[in-house]
Amino acid sequence: MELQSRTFFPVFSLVLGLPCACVAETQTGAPQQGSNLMNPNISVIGNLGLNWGDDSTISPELFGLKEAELGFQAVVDPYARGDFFIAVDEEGASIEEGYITFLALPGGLSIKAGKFRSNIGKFNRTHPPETVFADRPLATVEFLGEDGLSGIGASASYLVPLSSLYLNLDFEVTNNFNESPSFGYESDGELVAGGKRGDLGYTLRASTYRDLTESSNIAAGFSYVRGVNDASGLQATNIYNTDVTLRWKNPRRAIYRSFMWQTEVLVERMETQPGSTVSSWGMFSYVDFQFSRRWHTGARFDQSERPGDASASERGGLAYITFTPSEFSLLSFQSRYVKRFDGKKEWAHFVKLTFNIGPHGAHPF
Amino acid sequence: MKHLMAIVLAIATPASAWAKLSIVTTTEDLASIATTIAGDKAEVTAICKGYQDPHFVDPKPSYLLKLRTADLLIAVGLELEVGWLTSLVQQCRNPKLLGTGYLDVSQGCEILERPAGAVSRAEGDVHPLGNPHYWLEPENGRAIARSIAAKLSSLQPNDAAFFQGRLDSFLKQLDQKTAEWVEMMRPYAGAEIVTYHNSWPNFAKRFNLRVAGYVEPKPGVPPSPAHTLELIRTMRERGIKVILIEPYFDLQTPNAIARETGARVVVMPPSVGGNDQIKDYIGLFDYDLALLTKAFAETGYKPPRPAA
Repeated sequence: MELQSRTFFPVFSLVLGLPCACVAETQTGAPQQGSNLMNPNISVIGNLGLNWGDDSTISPELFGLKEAELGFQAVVDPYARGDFFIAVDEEGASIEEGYITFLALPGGLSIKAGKFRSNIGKFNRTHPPETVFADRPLATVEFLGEDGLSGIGASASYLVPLSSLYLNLDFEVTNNFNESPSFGYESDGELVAGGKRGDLGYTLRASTYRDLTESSNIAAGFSYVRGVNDASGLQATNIYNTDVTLRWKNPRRAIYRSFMWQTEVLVERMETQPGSTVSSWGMFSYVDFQFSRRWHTGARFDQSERPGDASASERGGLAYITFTPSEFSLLSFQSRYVKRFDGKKEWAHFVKLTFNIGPHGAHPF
Repeated sequence: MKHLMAIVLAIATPASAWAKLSIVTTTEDLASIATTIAGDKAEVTAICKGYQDPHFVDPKPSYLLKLRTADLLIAVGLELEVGWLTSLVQQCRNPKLLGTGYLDVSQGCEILERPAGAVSRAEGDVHPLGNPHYWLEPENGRAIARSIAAKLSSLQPNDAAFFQGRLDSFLKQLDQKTAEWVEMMRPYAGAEIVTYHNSWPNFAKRFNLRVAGYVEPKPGVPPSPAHTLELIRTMRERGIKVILIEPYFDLQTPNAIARETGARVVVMPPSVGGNDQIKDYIGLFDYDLALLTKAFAETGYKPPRPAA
């Protein structure tokens, strides 16, 4: 389990069990459930947007409430904590993630059970409102789907007991993954999850981190994902993902300047029919530069083939400038260019406005 | 026979009795006090360096390596570290830190500016549990030291007398130094200052200073032109000649204000390790008060005449 890019975590007092009232006496003497202190922390992130341009994949409407993400987080008992994230958009509500995490296990282990985003690369685990982009990189959309890869199951995470090197190992087993291009198939014109009852998806991840200097550090990870991709569950897809992140931030001026470069490369081997495997790949790489206390700018390069189809690729890029009035809101202007598989060149322009209300959360890393 | 007894004693003694406690603190101020109390019975490491803004620390995985094996985590609390400590504790896989191995030293300290009613972020980055910069008051330093000594004694009862002895010695030294510091600041009692962030309420109360304004219009909000002009007007009207700024904030606006008002910008570290000369908690006050009194003297501060 890597450090998560979650915006909201519960307040520390809840985690550490500071004093709380469970049952209170009323003036009539009857005991009642005493206090909101035992309620979970509730947060909401609003993700609004404008989009326009000749890109065939963006919404035809100018304005959109892309998503409101509701977070409910609390300590369950002395052994575990629970987290729920519910995504609400104009089409309805869905549980984006909902899981219990057992933190107090011996031997450097932690175990999680529920629905969660798969631990492939770094970007897949970041919820849409919390990424720096108004869209998602082409490779993640093509291979993992517009909503990213997730599943219902359990995961174990092991922090290897080394004194000078951070090395973490994760293993996840879930029902076969949600409907995604790599692990689903078309049925009546719709993408549905592959496999039958009992077909499982597996994710393995090793991640490491090292401080280079006081101001700079590097993180790297390797992920392997396997699941079935057809209705019968006889054909499998294997994805290999490598990610590297380089960061710079002078701790003496931490709120004014920072730089990050992140790259993910994804190689997929997909069985398209028994005995026939097609390899394809995709990647994205982006830089983010904070040049003053409230301003960031950045750019991303995309290249991607399709699952099971290496005959053509699409490539493009995105550039943005973002203004953050405070830690709790941002306004970002972004433009994206893509040369599609058929050679068509498309432009899309976005304005992303996100704001969050609720407890002060952990800053992302 | 003596050798045999020594060997038997060594074997029979639990390893924990010989091992040093591993203590991680969120700030260098707490590390300094913890080191003073624990002596050679513990290895103490601080996460946030004294020259860093403790509100904004990246929760780097390298900190997990320290926390994973820690016996005790000591925090300032009051949500000072809420932006980074929670995720570290949740991911360090150290069950001790979810229970008896966690100490919030704000308990027992005088906490100022606790909101009386509802708070919202319309007031900026407010701390709903009170101002967390409370360690900048020697009396709270005493309370912190007592809390740490009590916690160390509960974790390592065999060394309780050792910790108590070092606590007594520290408190005695702090008493002497506090009397010196108060005397040193007596000529400037009631002096008005401006600070960049609202980091100094306990310090100002102890040393009888009055904070007349802040460079930030609201906590955590960068200076705005309108607020800066208003602050300049206030400083001119009241003859305020000292602007305190923490080392991790940008000097541009304070310098501009100083140019307009003839004031002196004093980069005053609020924490141990804020620069190479500040080695410990007592040294922090020695350094800061020397800096402050020098600034008052050089800007020609004159105390108000006593009433006839």
